[in-house]
Amino acid sequence: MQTLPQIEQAYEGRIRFVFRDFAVHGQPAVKMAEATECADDQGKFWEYHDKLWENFQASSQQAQTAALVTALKGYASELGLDTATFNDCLDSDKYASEVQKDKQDGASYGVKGTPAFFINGRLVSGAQPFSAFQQAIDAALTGGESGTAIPTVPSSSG
Amino acid sequence: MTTETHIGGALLRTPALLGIMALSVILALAAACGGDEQSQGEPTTTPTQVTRTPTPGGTPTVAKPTATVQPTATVARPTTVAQATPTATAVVQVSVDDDPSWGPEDAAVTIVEFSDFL
Repeated sequence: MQTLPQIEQAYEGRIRFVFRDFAVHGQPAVKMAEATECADDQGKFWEYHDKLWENFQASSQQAQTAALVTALKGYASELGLDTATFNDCLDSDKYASEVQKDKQDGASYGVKGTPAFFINGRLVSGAQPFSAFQQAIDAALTGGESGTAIPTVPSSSG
Repeated sequence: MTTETHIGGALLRTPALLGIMALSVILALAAACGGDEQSQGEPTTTPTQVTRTPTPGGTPTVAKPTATVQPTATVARPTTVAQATPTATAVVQVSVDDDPSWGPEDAAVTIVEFSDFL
């Protein structure tokens, strides 16, 4: 994920970046995705997103979902979120269907693993160096591909 | 003095038998001193593997050339290189849903990431 800040810095104001869940690494991955959605309820999605990556090593070792949930709630507290609301959101599986829908959508687009990126609709699979994104983004910016229709579909589940 | 000898049912006289044996020895010696007539005059399938093996009878034998498998030229298969650029892929109409995003909504380029945190 070191490339994302580079992309943001290099193309600030010229690109839109959208994150969608594709939780394929079991229930812990699903719970983490739900937690980011709960953080998004309080306008802290990206902060929580970064927090998870900062603690990737610790989070990935939480084999037990219960222990992971405790850690996820702790991250919310560290970020100054309303923990009662966050905890209720996480415990109630409020965004379980949303996370599942994202995964189904990704699979329908041909996503088979993580991470996967669509740059104006063109798939770039796997963790690529910044140079690969730079080449693809520059091609999209200068190659007449701007305006590629990417419909915004209102979520049916949240 | 003559001696009759039965060999294979044929009646031969000793002087004639001795003459035949002497002629055979001469021919054998001539063959032994004749060099590489057999290998020189015949095309060989391979330039190697012609060897002479002494035999108790004195007649050299030529080992048959052995078939050798010629090394064949190998052609390296072109390897498929993963394309990092998106130019080789089809354009997919990807919904951004109402998922979290940053950057202007009317940006020329939209990147949609599908991922988890593990």
